[in-house]
Amino acid sequence: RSHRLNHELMQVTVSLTDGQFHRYVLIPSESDYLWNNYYLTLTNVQDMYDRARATNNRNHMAVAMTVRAWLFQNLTDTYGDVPYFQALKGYPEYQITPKFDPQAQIYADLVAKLDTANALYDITKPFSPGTDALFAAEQSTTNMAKWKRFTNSLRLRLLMRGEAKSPEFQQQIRTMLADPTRYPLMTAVDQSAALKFTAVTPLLNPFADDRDYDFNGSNAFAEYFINTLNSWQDPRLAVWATSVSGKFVGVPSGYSLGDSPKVSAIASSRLNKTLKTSPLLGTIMQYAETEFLLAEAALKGYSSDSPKDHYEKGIRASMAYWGATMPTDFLTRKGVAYSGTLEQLITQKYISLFFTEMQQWAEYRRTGFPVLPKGPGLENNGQLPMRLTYPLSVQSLNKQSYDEATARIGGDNINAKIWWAK
Amino acid sequence: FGQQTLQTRVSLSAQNSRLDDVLTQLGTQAQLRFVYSGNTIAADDRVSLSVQNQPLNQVLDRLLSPRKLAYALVGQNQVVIRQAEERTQRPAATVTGRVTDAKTGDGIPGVNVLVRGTQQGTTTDVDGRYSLNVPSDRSELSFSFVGYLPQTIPIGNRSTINVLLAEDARSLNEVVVTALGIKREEKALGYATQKLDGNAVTDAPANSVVNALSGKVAGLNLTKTDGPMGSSRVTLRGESILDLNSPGALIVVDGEPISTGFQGVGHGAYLGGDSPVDFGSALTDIDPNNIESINVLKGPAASALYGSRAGSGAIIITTKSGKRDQKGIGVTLNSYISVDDVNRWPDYQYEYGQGTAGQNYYSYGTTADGPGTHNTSSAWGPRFDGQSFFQYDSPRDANGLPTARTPWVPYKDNRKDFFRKGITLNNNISISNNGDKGTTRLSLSHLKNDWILPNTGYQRISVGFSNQSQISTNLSTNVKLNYYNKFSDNLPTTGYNNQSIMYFLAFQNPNINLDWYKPYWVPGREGIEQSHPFSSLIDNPYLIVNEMLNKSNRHNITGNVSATYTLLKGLDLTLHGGLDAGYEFRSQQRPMNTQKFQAGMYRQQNVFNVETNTDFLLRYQLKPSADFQVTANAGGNVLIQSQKFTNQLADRLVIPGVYNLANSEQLPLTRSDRADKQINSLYGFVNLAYKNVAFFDITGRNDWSSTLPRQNNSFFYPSTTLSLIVSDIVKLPSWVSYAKVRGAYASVGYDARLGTYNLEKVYEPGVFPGELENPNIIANPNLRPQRNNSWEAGTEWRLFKNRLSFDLTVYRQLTIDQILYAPVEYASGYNSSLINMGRVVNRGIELTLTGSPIKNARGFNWDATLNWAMNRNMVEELNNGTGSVVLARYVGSRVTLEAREGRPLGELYGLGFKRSPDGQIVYDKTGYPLLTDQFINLGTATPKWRGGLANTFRYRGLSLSVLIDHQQGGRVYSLTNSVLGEQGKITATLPGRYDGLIGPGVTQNADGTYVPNTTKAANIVTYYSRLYGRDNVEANTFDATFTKLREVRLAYTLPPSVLGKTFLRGATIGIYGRDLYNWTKFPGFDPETSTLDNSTITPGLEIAQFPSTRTMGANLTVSF
Repeated sequence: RSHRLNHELMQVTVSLTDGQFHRYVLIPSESDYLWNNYYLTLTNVQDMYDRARATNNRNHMAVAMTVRAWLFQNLTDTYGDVPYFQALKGYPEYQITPKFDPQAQIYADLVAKLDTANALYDITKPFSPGTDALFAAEQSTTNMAKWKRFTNSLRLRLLMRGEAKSPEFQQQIRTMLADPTRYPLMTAVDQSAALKFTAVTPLLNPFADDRDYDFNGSNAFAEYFINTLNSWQDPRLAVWATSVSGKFVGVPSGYSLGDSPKVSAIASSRLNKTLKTSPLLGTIMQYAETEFLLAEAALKGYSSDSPKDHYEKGIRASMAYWGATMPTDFLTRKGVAYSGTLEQLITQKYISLFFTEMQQWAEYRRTGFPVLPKGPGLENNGQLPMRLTYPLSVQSLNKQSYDEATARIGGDNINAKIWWAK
Repeated sequence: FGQQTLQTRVSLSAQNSRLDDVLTQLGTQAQLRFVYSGNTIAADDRVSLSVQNQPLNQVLDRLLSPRKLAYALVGQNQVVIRQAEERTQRPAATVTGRVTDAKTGDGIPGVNVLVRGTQQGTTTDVDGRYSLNVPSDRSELSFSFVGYLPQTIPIGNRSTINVLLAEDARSLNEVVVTALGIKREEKALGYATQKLDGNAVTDAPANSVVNALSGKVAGLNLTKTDGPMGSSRVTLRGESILDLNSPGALIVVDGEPISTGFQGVGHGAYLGGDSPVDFGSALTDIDPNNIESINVLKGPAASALYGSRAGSGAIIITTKSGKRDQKGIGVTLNSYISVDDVNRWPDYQYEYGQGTAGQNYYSYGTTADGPGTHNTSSAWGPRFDGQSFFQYDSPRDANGLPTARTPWVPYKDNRKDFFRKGITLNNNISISNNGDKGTTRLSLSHLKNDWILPNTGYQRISVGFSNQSQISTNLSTNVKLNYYNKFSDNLPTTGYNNQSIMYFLAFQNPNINLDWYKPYWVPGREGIEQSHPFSSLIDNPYLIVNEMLNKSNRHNITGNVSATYTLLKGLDLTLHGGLDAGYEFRSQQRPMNTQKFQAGMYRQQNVFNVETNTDFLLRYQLKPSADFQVTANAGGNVLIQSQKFTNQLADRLVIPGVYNLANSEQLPLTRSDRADKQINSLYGFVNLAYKNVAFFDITGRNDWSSTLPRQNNSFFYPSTTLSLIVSDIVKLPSWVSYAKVRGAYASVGYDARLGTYNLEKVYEPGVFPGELENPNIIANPNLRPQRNNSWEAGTEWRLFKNRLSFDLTVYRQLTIDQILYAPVEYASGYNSSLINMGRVVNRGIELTLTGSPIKNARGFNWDATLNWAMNRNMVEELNNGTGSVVLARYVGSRVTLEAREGRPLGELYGLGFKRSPDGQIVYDKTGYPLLTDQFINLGTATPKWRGGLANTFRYRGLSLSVLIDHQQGGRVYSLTNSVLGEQGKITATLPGRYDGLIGPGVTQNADGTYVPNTTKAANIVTYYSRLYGRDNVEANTFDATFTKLREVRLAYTLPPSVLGKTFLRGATIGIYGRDLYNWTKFPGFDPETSTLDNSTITPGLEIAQFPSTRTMGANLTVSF
């Protein structure tokens, strides 16, 4: 979805075959995949929690709660109000028509659950039994501690997202940042929550078997993304994009319907094919994002830290994650040098969220940054979609709850603003 | 009545007329028919006669006595004339002869020929011939056969006695094979059946036996997939089952139910990881040459005794047995050859070429004319106006740059030319023998099919064996065995996806020469890089058929052994064991650089299916008084089903072109399924007959099934039927030959289907080694058996001396507590739930009308049969909490097939046009049609009614049959139409290409009022995308009404006069056609279609169907 939808909406890439997303057209069936798969996966996560609780395995419980919060956040960020408190109760309760819950309530509960998870961790013990694909926490207590850092970093992400809407959240942010011993956060690149892809199923990069056409043939990098990085002479470009005669060239996003041949004819930079097998594409949450969150929190006065310091650490972390060598003068270059604006901060964060689920889109909806150029072919009155509509199947399978929810959010359309985006 | 007929007064004047003509005239006056064999009355026997108002018997005496001929009234209206008995002692001798039908002149097989007063006898062979030793002290032979009037004929000193048997008009009665293989007289049955001879499926063979039944049985509905294997789902009396995976009607071969489903490859028809392939099943493998007869038992009453599976009716196929033939060995050869070609095409446009909207040039790659436009799959490009562009076939310089423009022309055969004529060649030989104590038949067939797609097709070898032995007076045994081996080096991939030819065809553009695809590898990169000179999205079609292979080799064996032992007089015990087993090895291979498998792929699958039935039946017949006859039966059955499926996947290969598991880049994945099921049953039934005019049956059965939870796994179900022969009870007008009324009630219980392991939560293996996942199905520990309660009433009449007859049935079936995987909202954490749900009612009428409009003494006959059936179903209740069940979703969930409360089962839903209150299409301010926000009902996928009209014209040895098949109503969604429409490839997308167009309809003002739409849609691509795009399901859903010229056959059977001089016993040559013409408004190939999705056949949806075909063939049958 990051590649298919988020990158297109957020002008990282542009479809060369007319496409739809870069023109702000979302088809109803686009809504199915995420919804269906997240809920089915959540059943397993919930089951992990239930079983861990039965054996009082605190680390398993905390891990399950963290993964659960991560998945639910993605769901609610995409659709707004979703079934939460009554969800995942198909068996044995046979609750098959769960009510949709207001996003504010879902967020409040997720934040509370992550707090509980944080308290549950017993980082004197490794993850046991079983193996941990994310941090290999079965191997050492150091790795187990990475889970705890992920839990708190994720919690910070949620709190910052709801910060403008909830005084309660503001208080929680202060509490959290004031007590790093109790709430350890990610402090190093190798603490990033990222599923390391290998060349072997099931940890094969999901793009590995994709057609080249689908991966980088039918789309090119967008002008906005490339030009932004060009203006900084950013070394990450070489990692991500192919060059055209030594230059990185993007194509305009939001071009008019029918202009596809013109746009295709531009010799443009494409996604590096090596990304198809890169181990780095399984990003859940990078260390860099934590630093950008801390920078924003400091900027908004939630801590006495230096926003500049966190901002620069964030950039460094992103470079390191992607294996790009950062030029020594990079942090002083025009546009990169810290200027103290939220726009600059979020723009850097936007770059660092390359291939990170749909976080770029979420951050844009929350902050309005980065300011994206508007192409001539935009539909939807030039408004970037604010959410995905609910899957059509929900209308037939859970109609009453669906009707209640759509009445509450003001209609099931892509322009209805979700709670934290208002 | 009776002898009065012979008293009928007649008048006649004849001068030197042929005796047989005179008899015909007399018969017409007396309303009766004279029956005699050819050599009884010589053709040149002439008489002169003049009588006025004399009793017939006196006239006959005058005419026949001098010729030493005797006559006798048989039945109501037949007078048999034969040589007067000569009481002379004669030596023991062999008498031979042929028994033929007095009406048609065809030999009657199976007639009992008995030396009167002895137990010595025989039955006639397939041509009606017999041969019998007659002791010297006996002087008469008796001939009898169900449905014909028996005759006793004095032998005299003849060694050849040919006999004409006349139909018993009063009780013309067919023997019907009913449940458990029990033969019953048709008149005793209280439920609807329809019987077909084997030639119904051999005269004009279809790709699968059941597909040849189309239009021949009232109430039979086929949901057919396209393609060489021809898998289909057969339902009788409409669909009442919500589970599309349920097998439909039970197919029984020689008492052994056979598996009709097949194991799919696990892929959906719409853009799956791979695509479905129809590999066929035991049902598609049946050799029609072996079929003796087919009995369709339509309702559950007919089949209550087959248990759970027969609630949707049963089709009972009886294979051929050896015929008693004293001549010893009989050999029959049967061959046919048929040619298939595509009979219908979508209305492709060849006026505009490749390109996106508004492009007034074309360029293959970036050229002096501009950027390349050759990648698009759309045909919105320039019109073919005699201009030239830089194209694929432009001459090129050393750098590969085009040096000249070539003419811009359409290639109008660039889809059709991909197909070839399909050829099927079938040869069959059968040998039958009659020994002292039994008969044996052995049949061997070979069939080779080259299907219409190059490099696809299959072969089938089949062996049929049958033996019936009378081991002692008390013990007889019966063995039937059918073995099939079907193998294919390539079966076509179906569905809308890379790897399927129909996907390619949807993307083929009018300006692209098919030949440009022929070198399917890039030169020098053979086996590594395919050539796709245009869109790299699609696979090269020649690569698909030549390199992406789906191979199959299946062995099926269906057989049974039974022994009947007479314990006491009237008490028989039958023990029976049956087996249907099939093993199939499949492999699938994809070369490197195919769109879905960049590193190549090799998979192999082992499929093993077995079902055994072991049963006993105790049968006691008694006659408590002269008027009553009672047959009481008690039996039991153990049914064991087992399925094993292993799929080994090497989805990335190391060395190109080497297809085996060892070439896998990583450890090959193995997926396996194994399902077992057992049902134990006990049953009993009683047949009561009163004076042969009233028949009453009652049955009861209890099943214990392993697929239901322990507390619910035992269930009982009864049935009862009544049949009254009205014409034998009350006096009816003389033009009524036969009248019967019947009624039946049955309740059938069903268990859950094989492989249902969802009574409790069972973890499933996940993708990581050692990982378990939660199932996606909500388990149900309280599952109950499903029920089907039905009644039917029917009546059968034969009028005007059998010139007209009809059979009418009305029925109502109620299906409750269906066991179903109902889709549930994903937020429950699951995607489906195993539940008992619903009340579905089916009501319908079935009518069979048979008539002989012309029946001519000269031998010209016209027989016609009309089969007509309508069924209405209604989902009365679903009680699943949502009021609807999604039976299937397609095209990225844009189209659903649903059952909703208060609606018919199986309606299509999807987005459609937004409409004003008066039904007009609403356009937006820029002139493009708007779509609804919610799914709307787009009609039911099931037809309103279906009917078939069969006509047979016979003149002596020549016969012409014509079958017309009609379906009224039903809706089908066509993805083909959508894709072709949104890409501008059908003529419907021609209007408005340059100057836009104004769509007919209205626009909505800000105040909610509607005004006619006057805005011209400027961008025609957007316009047609809104119109035909995949989101607009309404515009791509069509009426599936069709009329098909289903079968035409012209056959000639050599007359005995010619045969007599040769060693042949019979010879027939025929030419035939199948699906010759299709009258329909459906825009795709054929509205009679469905979608194969993994192993499910889904009606109402056309997802890139294969073309429909017209078959022409010739067959030859010779016996000696």
